[in-house]
Amino acid sequence: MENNDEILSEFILEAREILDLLDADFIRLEQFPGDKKLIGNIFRALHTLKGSSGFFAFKRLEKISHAGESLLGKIRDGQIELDPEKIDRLLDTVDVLRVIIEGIEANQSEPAGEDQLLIEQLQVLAKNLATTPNLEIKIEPVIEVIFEVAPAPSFFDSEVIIDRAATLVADAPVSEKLYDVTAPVKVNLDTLDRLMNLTSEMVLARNRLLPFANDSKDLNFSKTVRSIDLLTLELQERMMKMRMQPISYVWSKFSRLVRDLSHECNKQVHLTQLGSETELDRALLDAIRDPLIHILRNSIDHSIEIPAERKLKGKPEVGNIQLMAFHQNGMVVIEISDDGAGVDYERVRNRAIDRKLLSPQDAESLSKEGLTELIFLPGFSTKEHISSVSGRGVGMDVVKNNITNIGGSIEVDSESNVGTTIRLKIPLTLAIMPALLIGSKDETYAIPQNRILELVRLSYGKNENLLEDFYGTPVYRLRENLVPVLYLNEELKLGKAGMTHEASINMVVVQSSGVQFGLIVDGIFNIQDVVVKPLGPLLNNLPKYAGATILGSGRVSLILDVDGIAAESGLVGRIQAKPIPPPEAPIRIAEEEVSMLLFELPGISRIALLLQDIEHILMLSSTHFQENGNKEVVFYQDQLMHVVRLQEYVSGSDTGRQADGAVSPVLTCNINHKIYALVVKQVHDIIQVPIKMHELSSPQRGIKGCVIYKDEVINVLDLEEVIAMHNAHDSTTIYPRVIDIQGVVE
Amino acid sequence: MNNHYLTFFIGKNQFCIPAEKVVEINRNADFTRVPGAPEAIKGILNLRGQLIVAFDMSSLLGVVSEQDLSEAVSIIVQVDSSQISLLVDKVGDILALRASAFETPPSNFPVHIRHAVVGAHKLADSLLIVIDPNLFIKHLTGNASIPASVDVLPLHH
Repeated sequence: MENNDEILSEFILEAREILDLLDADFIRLEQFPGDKKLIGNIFRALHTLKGSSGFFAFKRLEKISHAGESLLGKIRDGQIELDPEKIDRLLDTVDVLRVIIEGIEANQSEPAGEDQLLIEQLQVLAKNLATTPNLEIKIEPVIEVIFEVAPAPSFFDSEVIIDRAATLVADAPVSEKLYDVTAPVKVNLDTLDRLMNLTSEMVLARNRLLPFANDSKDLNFSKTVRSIDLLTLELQERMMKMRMQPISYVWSKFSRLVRDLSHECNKQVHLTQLGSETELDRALLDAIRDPLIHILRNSIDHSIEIPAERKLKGKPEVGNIQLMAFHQNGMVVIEISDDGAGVDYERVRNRAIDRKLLSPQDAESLSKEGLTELIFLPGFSTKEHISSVSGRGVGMDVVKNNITNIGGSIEVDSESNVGTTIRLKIPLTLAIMPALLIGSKDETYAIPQNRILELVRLSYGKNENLLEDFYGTPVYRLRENLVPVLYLNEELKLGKAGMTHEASINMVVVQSSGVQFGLIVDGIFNIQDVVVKPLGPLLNNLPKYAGATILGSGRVSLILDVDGIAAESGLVGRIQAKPIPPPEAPIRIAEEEVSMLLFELPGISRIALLLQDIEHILMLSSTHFQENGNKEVVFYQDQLMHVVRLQEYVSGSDTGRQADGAVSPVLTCNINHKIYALVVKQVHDIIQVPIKMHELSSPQRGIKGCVIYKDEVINVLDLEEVIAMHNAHDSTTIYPRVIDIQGVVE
Repeated sequence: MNNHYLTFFIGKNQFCIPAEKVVEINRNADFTRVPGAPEAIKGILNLRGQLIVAFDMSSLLGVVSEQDLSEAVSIIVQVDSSQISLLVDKVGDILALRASAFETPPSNFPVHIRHAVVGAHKLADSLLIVIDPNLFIKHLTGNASIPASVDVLPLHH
């Protein structure tokens, strides 16, 4: 019987696909009522659904799809006209079919129900002006042939699906093109995940193999390992691609959604979809569905005005919503823009004052960006009343949470009466993410990097009061803000942290639901890309972990869920219970402030660099640096970085080199896909300074300008100039002293 | 009709599991502890890229192990669609036992190990206790107390 189950689940899967496509097709049909090809497509889809329902003896499915098919047949043959009433009835038909399919999926049998009314309605519509009394539908011979040729497991001729998928994607009538498309193979997500596992395991095995090859004198062995290395790399890349699906997978349902919602709100909305072929990881697609629906609801319910109002404002009566997806900087950007009323910033401001989130003075001086931040606060709404479409207690804060949970970000850009654009930036894949590895009681844990704000190392020697006692709760003074502090060892119940005899404390400052807190760990190791694996049903109820990953050594390491830890410790629940004003810092940034890293070069005690230019800060010994031609490079964590000794390019610094073997901080930055390692003497602090820089009285090499911080003038490094100077050496006539033959041959 | 069972030892106690459920037997499983997990779950280990939950059978069955957990043998068992690891002291033989020799636990059988023991086989001189991994997995997933979550959304899906 197992085999039968398989066939049934195949049937359900394909039926769902057909229903999704039907939804979209009917919407298109409403716009282009004369599109005979489209009607033909819908007719065939219903027909195949009817056929396979007959095979399983699903009587309800069969009867309803038959009635719908009869009506469509008449429309196709031009015997009757298509009107909105018929479209509505046909959409009802699709809805009923969907309910039945869901019932079949749940119970393996057709749910009971009475469809006589719907069938009669369909029949009445079909009889309307019908000239031929014969209700029997002629079956198109072509379809029959395809159906017979198709092997048993596929109940629907895949060409119908592909054809219609192509129509959706191209947004234009597709005719002969469909035969160019090779039929996709459906693979179970589980099978894919397993392959993915094997691939990542293969990568780890390769990593263990590489050192042997490097040490070996056997050239053949090294060569073989090298080819395994390359093959593994390619295998990994292809695997990642396999999980990708076009965003139309989610969007295809939106036409129907927008149509129904706008009817409900008595508005007219036209939805355009651009870039629906943009691909995203399947798991991410599932994660962005609800946020997108929420944003669309908001747009239709609040932003787009009713036709009369639009006319008054001189806009076209039909409102426009545009969905656009594209790639940018290794992220997928999804823009939802409408030409509606936009965000009423004055109302947001007043609301914030009403709810005592801000003092009237503060609110007055708040910029547009600052006010936008407020929209994302839990429970913040400017709506006076709740409608059936939106305002059911789920606000933009949930949207933001969902998006940040998958490592994305959200921006709102709105202009009164012109419209709103909401921009979501989503990483390409969830399966791999950068994480910081930390140690706690002999085990290694990973913290997702997107949750980490900064790392703080506190030494007892320098000042006595590292952590302060807030009447029993440890807190830390992070640049004048008090942040609560948690000990990871205690949170994981690994025993009390033996603090007193430690010479220093490592603290990871993280953020959860807008709350910052410090997490004290035993050791901080490095940041690396980790493959996220779910913990499975047995360990799913542990909110402190987001999953696990396998380290290069083959050992499993748990990934900490920052939200879970915050909630378990009571931090998030407690703070959210009493609404506190939004954190000061983001708003101050909105007031044209910028974060800079303050560091030291030989001969220059203070120099700054924009924090956003820096990817990581590493501690590297100069023995790691390798000569490569006239340049120095360093190979660190599978990445080749070009070493830039900043003192050679910045005027005022000592150009003398440090002693060999000295460990110095290195700032890494990525410019034009090349990674540079900037060697500095010491890193001091992160400072907030006004974005406006002061010009230098006389230009200095490698310096862009200066900023004032605590009454001190601090020069700002001109990174572009330094890198340009560094690269300019490339074009000089000095030949490399040594040609690295091995590097060239390989 | 004969059924095949794999026997294993914890201390001096012998138990068995249905042999058709056993996937493989490994030595020195390097597992990672999961703080906060149920007591019987010793950690998770990596089996060719798959995460496998490792159960400490001595804690699950309430018997005292005679050796350190680091010397434990890991029996990988198929449970529904996933695999788990049972950490035991020693693996014994595979026995073919007549189905008619099987007995379910008596009605006064202690409740706390009912979730693991399905019955026993009458051997010539002793009773061989039969463990069903499905049973205690169901027990652990079904009755596991789920801490009240404070509107935190899951990271995945």
